[in-house]
Amino acid sequence: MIPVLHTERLVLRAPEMDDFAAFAAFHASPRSKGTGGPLDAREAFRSFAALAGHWHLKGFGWWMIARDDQAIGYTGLHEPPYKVGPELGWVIFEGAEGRGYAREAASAALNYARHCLRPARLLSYIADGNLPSERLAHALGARPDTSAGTQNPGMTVWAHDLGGIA
Amino acid sequence: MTAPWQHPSTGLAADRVTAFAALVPVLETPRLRLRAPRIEDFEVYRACLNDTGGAPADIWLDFNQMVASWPLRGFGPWAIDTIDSDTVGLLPVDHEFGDPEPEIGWFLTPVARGQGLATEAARAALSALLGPMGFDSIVSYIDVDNIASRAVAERLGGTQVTNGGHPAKDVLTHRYERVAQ
Repeated sequence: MIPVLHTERLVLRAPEMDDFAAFAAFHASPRSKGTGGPLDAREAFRSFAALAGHWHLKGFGWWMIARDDQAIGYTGLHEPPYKVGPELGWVIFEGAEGRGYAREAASAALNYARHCLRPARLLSYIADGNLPSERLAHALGARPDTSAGTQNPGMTVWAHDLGGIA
Repeated sequence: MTAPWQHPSTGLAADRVTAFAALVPVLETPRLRLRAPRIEDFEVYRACLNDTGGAPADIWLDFNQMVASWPLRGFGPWAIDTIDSDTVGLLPVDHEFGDPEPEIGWFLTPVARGQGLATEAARAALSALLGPMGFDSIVSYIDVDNIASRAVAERLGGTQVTNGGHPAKDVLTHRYERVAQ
């Protein structure tokens, strides 16, 4: 089963079918540009389901972030195809931003990676000008890494050096 | 050759993959063994698609989505191995977005076709689905011009349904039903 992580205010848990409406609403909005959106409902469903499929295939993946059992975003560890290494990512849905949830959830995911997966490093792909995410990456200890290669122009790769074993 | 992101996980992540796979029933037939899909099957899936699956990153998402039916819905695809452990295809079971009901399908690599393996694999899957897995019926959706796949549906005893409700035109619905004991 997908591990459940508890933080002060949040629960990180497996994606469930009931989370899809909130996921689809976020991915239909212009705010999802930094995560490959906007997506129509069919594309959003594929991306949503792929969160769960990744756990099955790789043994790690994204958690839904739940506050009072309501999905407010997702965070986790993901190995994107055709890229250079595992990623730490976070997304907070509309209406839940600005309250430190991303930091609380991403810290828990990073902590899980550090102790349970022990990759040498994780990468975060952040759209240039996304100041809240840049600040969070910095607070988590990541630094911009121009050698890692971006997925597209306008994105910076931030590297979390975990000093673990690959 | 596979890229680093396609490599099987190690350590605790690998233990978790093993635990997920253990939830998928293994089905055996005279020539085949159906088992939980794993990351190594991605290239098999690509081979089955005959270069019709779009961009590789899209095929990867499709493959992840297919596998996700197990954790999200409790039923899902099997990978098809020969008894010598050569992987020859995938047998998806999924309720796809926008479809009226769950479906069963079959994909074989080009070299594995024409030997009745899709029928043999799907027959085993149907007896699990319509038996212990609790389905009263399940359908297959097949393009009208996919003659080989239509022949499999006929051999499986599927009944062609005139209005199966699939949103795409030129798709035939065959229905397989639980046989009363």
